[in-house]
Amino acid sequence: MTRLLKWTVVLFLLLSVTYASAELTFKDRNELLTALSRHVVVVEYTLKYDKGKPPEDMMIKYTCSGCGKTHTRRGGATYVEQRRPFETVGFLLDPRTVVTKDIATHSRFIEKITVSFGDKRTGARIVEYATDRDAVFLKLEKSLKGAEPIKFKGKETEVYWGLSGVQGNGSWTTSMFPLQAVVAVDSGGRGYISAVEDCLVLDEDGIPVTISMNPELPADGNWKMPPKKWDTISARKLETRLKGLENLAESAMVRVKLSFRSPKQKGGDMFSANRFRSWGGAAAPTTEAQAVGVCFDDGTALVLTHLDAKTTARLEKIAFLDSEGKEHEASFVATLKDYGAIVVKLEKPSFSSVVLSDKDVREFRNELLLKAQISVKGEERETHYGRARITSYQLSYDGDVYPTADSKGEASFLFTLDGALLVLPVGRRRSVAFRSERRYNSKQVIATPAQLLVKALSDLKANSDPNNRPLSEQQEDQLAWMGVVLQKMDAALARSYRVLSETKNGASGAIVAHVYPGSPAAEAGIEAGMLLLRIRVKDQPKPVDVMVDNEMSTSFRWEHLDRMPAEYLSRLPAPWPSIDNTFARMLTDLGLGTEYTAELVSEDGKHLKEMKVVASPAHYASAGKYKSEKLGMTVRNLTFEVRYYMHKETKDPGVVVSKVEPGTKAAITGVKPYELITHINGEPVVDVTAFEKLIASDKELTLSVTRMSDARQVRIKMTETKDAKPE
Amino acid sequence: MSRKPFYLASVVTVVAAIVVCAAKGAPADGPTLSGFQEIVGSATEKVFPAVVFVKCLRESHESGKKLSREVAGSGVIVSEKGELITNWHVVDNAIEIRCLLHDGRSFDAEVVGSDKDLDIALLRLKMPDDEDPVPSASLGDSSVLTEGDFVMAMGAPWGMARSVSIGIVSCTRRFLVDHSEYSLWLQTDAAISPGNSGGPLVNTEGEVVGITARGIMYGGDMGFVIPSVVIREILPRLRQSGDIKWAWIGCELQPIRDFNRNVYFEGTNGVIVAHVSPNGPAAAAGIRDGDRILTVAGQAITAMSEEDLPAIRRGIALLPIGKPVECRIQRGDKILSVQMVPRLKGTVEGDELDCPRWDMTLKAINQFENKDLYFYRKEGVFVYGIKYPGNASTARVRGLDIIVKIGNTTINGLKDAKVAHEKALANIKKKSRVMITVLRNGITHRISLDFSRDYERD
Repeated sequence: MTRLLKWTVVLFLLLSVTYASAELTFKDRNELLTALSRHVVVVEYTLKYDKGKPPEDMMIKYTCSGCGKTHTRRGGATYVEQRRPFETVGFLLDPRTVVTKDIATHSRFIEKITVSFGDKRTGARIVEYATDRDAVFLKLEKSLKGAEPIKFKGKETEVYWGLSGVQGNGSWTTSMFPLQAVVAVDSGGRGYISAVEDCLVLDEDGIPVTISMNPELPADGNWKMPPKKWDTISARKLETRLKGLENLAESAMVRVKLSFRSPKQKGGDMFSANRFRSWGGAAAPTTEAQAVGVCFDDGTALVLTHLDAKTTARLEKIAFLDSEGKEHEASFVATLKDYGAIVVKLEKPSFSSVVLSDKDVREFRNELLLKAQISVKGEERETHYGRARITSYQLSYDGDVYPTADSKGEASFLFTLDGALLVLPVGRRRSVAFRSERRYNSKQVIATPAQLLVKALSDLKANSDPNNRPLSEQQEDQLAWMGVVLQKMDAALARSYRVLSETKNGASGAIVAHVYPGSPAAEAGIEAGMLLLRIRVKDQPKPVDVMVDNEMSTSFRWEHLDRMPAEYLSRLPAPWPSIDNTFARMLTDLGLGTEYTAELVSEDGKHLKEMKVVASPAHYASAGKYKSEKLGMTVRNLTFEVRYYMHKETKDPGVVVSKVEPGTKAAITGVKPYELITHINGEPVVDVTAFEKLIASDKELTLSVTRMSDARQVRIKMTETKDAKPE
Repeated sequence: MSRKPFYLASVVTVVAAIVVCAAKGAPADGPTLSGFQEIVGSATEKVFPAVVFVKCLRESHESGKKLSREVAGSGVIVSEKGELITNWHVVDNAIEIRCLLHDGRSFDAEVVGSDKDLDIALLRLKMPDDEDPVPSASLGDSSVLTEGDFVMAMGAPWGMARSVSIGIVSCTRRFLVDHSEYSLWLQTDAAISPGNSGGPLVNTEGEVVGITARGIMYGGDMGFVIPSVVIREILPRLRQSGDIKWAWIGCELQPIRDFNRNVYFEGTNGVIVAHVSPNGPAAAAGIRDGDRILTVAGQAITAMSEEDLPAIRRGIALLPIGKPVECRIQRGDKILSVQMVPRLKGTVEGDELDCPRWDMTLKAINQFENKDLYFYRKEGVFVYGIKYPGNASTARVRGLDIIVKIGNTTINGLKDAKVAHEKALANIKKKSRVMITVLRNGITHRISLDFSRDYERD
């Protein structure tokens, strides 16, 4: 069903000649228009800001003078700024009732409604809403002198006329026009007649038949009923429904607090322009996030948050907060692979539940829907309840039909009148191949039909991302690798490699600067000097461009270490190129075990290498470490990239100093980060375990400390100097 | 030497007299003050005529292009034949040296010998044969100086020739980290400014007790002077062979007590081996990191503190080259005896090469000058200066990049680089781009250097 629209075969049946109706002469029409214009009033909405926000949920449909089609414009800020009301056309049904289009803005943005006829004006309020078409009924405070209610006495005719008020060139004009009697049938079998919105429909003699509020009229003829016969819901009843929705939302769509393990403090990648930037990641690592959780009756819930794998890895606690602010813990189940949401299981059922509608969202076009705007900002859960209508649809991801965005990034949940959740604001996860593009927009929330989530949740295994899950502290830094050090491209290099167009002038691709022996790259026969263009992965819609954000711009100045104030040392980036770069993150996001083809260029031409995503061996950030409180320093095992940088063979002993606390024993003896400790009391230090054992003695220690080609002996007394007690 | 206490005593009285008269606000009591002035005056008289204002045209490659710059310094004539002493850093890479004598005569000079480690250079004035002899000063004994002794610094601070300032010896044994390889420094509070370099520090007897080499820019109350005893020791070597010909054993030393780093080894004799270079004579002799050297060539050596290290290093560096020496070392509780053959240290600074049009200068990697680069490549050249704006700068070549390849040619020395550069420039009409492979921070990096643009064109 959802794919049908894609294949819509619209049948245009020209019913009759559109423009030439001989029945009404120009003179007739002019007289008729003058008479009929007494039914047409102007409805003025005076808008205002609320809580610092403009009436941005307002939808203004207008007929474009350029293309003749109807467009929707959002936002009423302009009207507030220009101190004029938003005006639209209304039709008088009885002396104190006007039908007009539903601008669907929340009542908090409406200062007042005024209806005018000529120079007569009166206040008005909405008393009823049409449920199946885009219309509201206004009750006037007093009747407008001179305006006449419409009498719907028109008959079935071949040709229909439309009459509407249009504001143009600074004045309101009532105009009369033949309706384009184009009949269309869409793939769903729905037939309709193209009409003009907000128009009074007249028969061939100019007698009112009905009012059309939608751009389409159903082909079955049912549209001809007069407005008084439309399905409606009274304003009072809608209030009750909204109150019910509010009650539901308070207990089933709640604030969720996500707590993350603190990110590791590290010097960062010395080559990286922005040390916290990661593949599609946040600007800075978070330790806490707030989101909306939607609870279901089976004890599961959906937390609407768009976390990347690197962040989810640190996720420690998920707490749902009830209306009293009490925390209810939930456990992680899965991250949806296509949507910015995680599935969790509540440990105890403490919340009400929401029903996800599995109906085709297209069935609700122009219908009255309940809207819940729920957003969580800090500890505040901000909510607004109102109404909404979906006026149009578009095809999007996987050929699914999505409502044309309801409102700008606002977290709006749309419910049907019977209380089922029809549309919810969820982020869409982009495939790895597209993440490097439009990086800043990657987390935008889009109005997503609940039907799609019902589908995803029904087969969680197929629809979740196994790589995006909480990890233990040990696993947290695990990355996939290829086993290469990559150098960023630039236009001059791209030119030398003759890949200017393939790399978009050097914007993508990377030069293999080094291949670690025994790595997947080495096994595949990748050599230093080759250019890694992109990788092809089966499930990715396009080949993934190789991007590196690190630029090896400077040499590490070892000679500056001794001059640097102690408090800066912990911020000093490691001298060796970090394994944790955009490329490794991209491979990690593809998932371990994913098969891919690497596309490389060398002087001999193109090379294709079949490869598989594998986990990297321990690297500096994930290396085994030991922190000695007594010495005030942390050491790590020598990992492959550190050994390569330091020219240390696998058999060479040593641990690398990763942190020295200022003012401690180690600091005073001048031991600096990134120096190696190779021997203690003449014994080789093979790893951090050996280090721990060797410093366990209370005797004086002699450490052999090396820095590149230099070395020195450091003596540290391990016995604590006891305070002399007065005898 | 025997008169020393007298001078010291008189100095004390002079200071007392000055304090007293300042307090009274009355004119000084004649004889004592004039006595001091006499001493200062006579010392100045003895040395001042021998002080020389040195102006050099120095070739420099630092800014990525061969430039000749004029620098000014000082010097002191130490023989009637026109030998004068100045700093190595005044005349390093000089292509022309002009000297202005106190009496207004001026001569060109040539370098007889120089040493970077001690920052000493011996020059000879190019005088016509019939020229009158030039005034000279005598080198005194800096080892008898004590803190508080009056001294005068002479020279041309900021290029202002014939200046003298007075102060005291602030410290006779100053160790400056990274600047005390073979000698400690004399520290003085006599005003020392740039331009004083190479000028003499003079005692109250009118003898040169040191050559001013370093100052601290801010404060201005700390100048550092090479003691005359060290100069006297190495002057014959400079005269004879143009350099000192230091011996090298490839062994870094550290003292038994390091107060600054709170590192203390037990015992009161010997010196600790911090590190042995893998390919050096010490390693060949079987000396290891952490050993304690007790004697060298039969002579006991002890470095209780870092101030003792320069003299020990100098002693070792002055050992005969190629002749085995016996060393007794302690390893744990064992005493071992090893034979070590000191090697010639050789050059301590790489040569430089200008690469016009590429807009950068290269320098040969030297084991002593570029330790970290030497770690990655024992033979080779690195980017020394980058002209801005220029082609290398545009291509994002960085200083300290080790050039591994130019095009497909492996670069093992300045000669290779020179050939590659000349070839590229000869072929510029056909091809004005070259791929350069560098080692940057130990990692291979490729740079496409486009040199089609001529940044020198005006």
